Amino acid sequence: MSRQDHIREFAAQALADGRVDYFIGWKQGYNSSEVVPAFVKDPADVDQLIWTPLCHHNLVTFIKRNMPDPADAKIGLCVKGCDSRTLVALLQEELVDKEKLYVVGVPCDGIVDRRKLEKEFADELVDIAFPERGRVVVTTGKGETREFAQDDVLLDVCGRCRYPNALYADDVAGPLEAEPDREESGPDWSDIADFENLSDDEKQAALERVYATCIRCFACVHVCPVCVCWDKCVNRSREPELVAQKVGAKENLLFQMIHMFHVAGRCTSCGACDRACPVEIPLYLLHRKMNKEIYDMFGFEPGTKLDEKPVFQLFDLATDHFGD
Amino acid sequence: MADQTTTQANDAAVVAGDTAAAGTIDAASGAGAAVAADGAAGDRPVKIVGIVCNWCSYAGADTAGTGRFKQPPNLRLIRVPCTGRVDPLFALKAFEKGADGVLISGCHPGDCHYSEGNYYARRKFELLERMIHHLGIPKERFRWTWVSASEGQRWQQVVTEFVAGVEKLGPREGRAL
Amino acid sequence: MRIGVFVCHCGSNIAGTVDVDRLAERALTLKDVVHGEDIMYTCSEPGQAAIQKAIEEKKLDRVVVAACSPHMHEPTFRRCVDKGGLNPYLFEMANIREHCSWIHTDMPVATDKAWDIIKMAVAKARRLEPLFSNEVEINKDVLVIGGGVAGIQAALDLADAGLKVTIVERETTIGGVMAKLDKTFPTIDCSACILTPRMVDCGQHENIELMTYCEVDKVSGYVGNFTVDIRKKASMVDWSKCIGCEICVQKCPSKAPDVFNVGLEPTKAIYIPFPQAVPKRAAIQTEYCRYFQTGKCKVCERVCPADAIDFEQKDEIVQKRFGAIVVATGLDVFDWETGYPEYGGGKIKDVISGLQYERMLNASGPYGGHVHRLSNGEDPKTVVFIQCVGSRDESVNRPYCSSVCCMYTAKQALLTKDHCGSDVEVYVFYIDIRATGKGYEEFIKRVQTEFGVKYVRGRVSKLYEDGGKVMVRGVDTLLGEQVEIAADLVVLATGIQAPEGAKDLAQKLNISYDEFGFMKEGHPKLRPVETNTAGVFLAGVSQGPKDIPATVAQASGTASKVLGLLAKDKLKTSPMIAIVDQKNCVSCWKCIDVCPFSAPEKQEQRDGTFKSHVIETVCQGCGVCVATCPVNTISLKGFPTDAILDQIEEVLQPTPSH
Repeated sequence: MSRQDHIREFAAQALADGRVDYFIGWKQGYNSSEVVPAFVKDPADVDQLIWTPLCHHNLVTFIKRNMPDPADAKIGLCVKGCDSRTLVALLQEELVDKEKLYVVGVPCDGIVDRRKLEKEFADELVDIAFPERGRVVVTTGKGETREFAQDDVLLDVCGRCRYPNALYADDVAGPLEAEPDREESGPDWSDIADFENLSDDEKQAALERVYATCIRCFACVHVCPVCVCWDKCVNRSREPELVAQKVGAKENLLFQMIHMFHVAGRCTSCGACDRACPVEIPLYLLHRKMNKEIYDMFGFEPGTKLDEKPVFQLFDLATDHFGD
Repeated sequence: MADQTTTQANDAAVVAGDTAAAGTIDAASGAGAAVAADGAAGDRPVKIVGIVCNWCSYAGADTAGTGRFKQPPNLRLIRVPCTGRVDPLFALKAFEKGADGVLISGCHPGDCHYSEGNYYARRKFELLERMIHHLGIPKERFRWTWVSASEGQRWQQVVTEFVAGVEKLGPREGRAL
Repeated sequence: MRIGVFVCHCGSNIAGTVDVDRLAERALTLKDVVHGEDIMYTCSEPGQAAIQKAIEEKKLDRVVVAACSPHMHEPTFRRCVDKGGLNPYLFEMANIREHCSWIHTDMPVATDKAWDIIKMAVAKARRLEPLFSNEVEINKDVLVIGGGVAGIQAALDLADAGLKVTIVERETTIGGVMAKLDKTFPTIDCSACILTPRMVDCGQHENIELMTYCEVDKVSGYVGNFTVDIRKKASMVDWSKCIGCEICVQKCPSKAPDVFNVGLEPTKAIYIPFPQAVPKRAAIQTEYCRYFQTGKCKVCERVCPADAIDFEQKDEIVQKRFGAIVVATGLDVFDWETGYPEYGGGKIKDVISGLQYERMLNASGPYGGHVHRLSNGEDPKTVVFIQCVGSRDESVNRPYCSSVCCMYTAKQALLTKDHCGSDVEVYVFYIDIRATGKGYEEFIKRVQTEFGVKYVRGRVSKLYEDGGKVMVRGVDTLLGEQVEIAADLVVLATGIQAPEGAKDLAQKLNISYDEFGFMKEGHPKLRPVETNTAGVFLAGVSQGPKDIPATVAQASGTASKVLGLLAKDKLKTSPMIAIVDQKNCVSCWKCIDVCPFSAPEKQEQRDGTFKSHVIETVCQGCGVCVATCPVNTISLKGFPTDAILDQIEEVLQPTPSH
């Protein structure tokens, strides 16, 4: 039984039992090159649910945005390993009610970065097929077809994945993926090394360049699964006005820093913001750096253990020696 | 697995490539990012925003004043009840608005008037400090420390050292943050 | 908005370095400022009248005073504008004295900076809102921590005035250091004769509860409503039965160091510090008790006529509530053995500390007042006193003057002549003589002239044993030559240091202390017995070295401050606290996680959801929740975020140079 079949079966069962009011998964978008989130309420509709290496959406985003309204809805959803960390982060703070959730963990061997594929072609993509594990076959509107090795076109976050299996799930869609030895090696931060090695002036120039393009569409914060501000985001507040509404490199960068500090200790570097950005700002530069420093300061990986609290909402007299 | 063809790596390369050029030629290049080199804002006196807690460091600055401990005149203090009340974003806001340096000071660990405020604050400030360096703001431009109400001399020393460090870099303008 | 700016000359304190006239005039160029005035002494009566007049005539709705530190006069000016008809929280202070005129010398530079400080204060003033205090009930019981002469005096004053007082003392008896002294300077009256009646008064006073052999474990709450956990240490003796007969002490076979006698002679494992102890109760030092060490003995249990011994006793925590707390924790004697290896580091028997000598002189001490050499029991022919041991010495991190050693050394020198006869040679090595109290200088003169004590100005560099004598090698700086004296007994005028645990206690009480562990007063002159934590007061050496007259005076001063506080039935709370604007609350509860006082709570809304709400009387106004709230929907009254941002923005506006 494929993982997709498992998901459909779990969803159908949960809906039929009344365990959930609706089930969130993934379905095909406007063509077979694209995947979009699916909200299924009728057991008869579970056949639209799919599982492919294009299912990048972190569905946890939808439960944080819908809770606590409707307050009594029971929700089922699929989580990949990375998604599950954001769910754990929400559970750590009791921002979602465990009792009202039904979580299907989907072991994942890497999500394909559609943007990377787009850049390979001048034409629009109409179909992305996965004839077998590891193979990706892309067809364009003009009929051009090329094959890629899945590992070559993965999302960058997947290349550094330490949690291929869900850390929190009620049911698991098929056999687990092989786990890396996390004791042996800590997180891999090599992706930000280039930026870290720039001089101060170079960093400033780079940030100016990159953040000048931000259009303040707020897609990054909307899609962020751990941002709890919902529609009350202080970025849009005029009193107090932490950041001006003017769209300029300084303001945009400050806006991102606000978001960053508000998810500090809770951001799992899931990359949702990065993927949502329509102007392709490498938002990971800040978030990954923040997580690297938090790991360095506390040995803390956000969203990995249910019984932990985010590190900026507590202190530890025995181990905190900052500034001594 | 994160090889050179990936989007993020591309971004990084774009970023790094741009700045390699920008870092050497700055605003005049036109094509590259238009950011002035740090400290390239002429010879006006540097202006430093200080955020201090009411009970320890503000009072420590008072003690320094009462003891006539002379200090450089570049610091402007904002009084808050506790360092725990200091949002790291205040410092970033100050840099955005053109501060040449930001100094935050509160009660020594264990001495917080509210018991725990500085314990939360120090975690945030440590992260802030590390991120500020990541943003390309030289480390000499930001400092957080502890000065108690009785440490007038220490306050003088902290201010004098910090201002000297910022003055060495000079005033900043036209920077991304 | 109509803001008035008042710039204070403070005589020449500010005007000497800052061009105040020009600033007052220039303030009128700021948005919303309709009145600018420079005043010679703004805090004076005419100064305050000028503010009130301007409020009325110019219809001011905000007042900014550019003067000294708000720690100095913010309350003064709040009262002033309140009387002038303006809400007291529509006032802001610009500190251009401590933070400007006193630390700069160049007038244009200082004036530019003062201008920025005023601009920032005006920017903040624009964001101020009227605030209103709440009233809470207050508990009128008082906790006095420390049962030395300071604690005793404060407790008696308070109890006589009708308040219930609890004295917590960590030793088994009250009395403190003064109980160990033989005589007191400059009158040479008997220390015990003064103190013990006061101790008895404490023990018998209907309004005083003695909790000796107890320590403060935890303090929570706030002025008027402190909750204190007091640890009753296990004495292994049931004090409700013990009659203080001392039979157990006589029969106990185990020796133990005697803290009361500063280690001169051993006491017993079960002990009563001294015969006049209050309460007179025995306690077992378990680390020296044969039963606790070997499991066999129980002699005390057998001989006790009151059946008071309880080997199973455990520490017990008692929780009590108080309205005010007096810290009277006293002192430790400087640990000279580690600080001064050049004085033998404690290895030379005939070199003793001032407090040990006090016990030696004391008729009820371990030697019945017999002054002798500890090495061989002989009467000394030559006694040398060395002053400033652990005082005024940066090499041992004691740069301060202990303020009592000059006088107690003179007293001990006199008593030496008194005890040993006038033919004994007495030398005092000193740096300076500090005899500033009433009758003190005269006393020193008397000791020098009438009693023939030889004062040598200079430090002693080394003490060593030679031929049964203690060789004192030093310098006489007046003669400019080396001195060597063969002494029989050397007494070190050991200085005062903060007692062990002082910093821990200060942290429990949330009060400031200096680097040496002395508690910091609210203001050295204006608030000398208050601390910066409302409801916590200081008495005696806990605040800094002082002698008995000063300690007693301060303790009475403290008592009057406590009485002033508790004379009211209700207490006004500070309105500068956090408040949640619930319409934007996203119920993330981070405020609850971080609050040190558990002030925020989940409050049920009409629609059944929960939002954060800050309990007014619990909030202390630190603002940790404000900085934590991701949607900035908690604001701190008096320190609103927009005011801070405006201050940042204002100060970074380019200012045309002077």
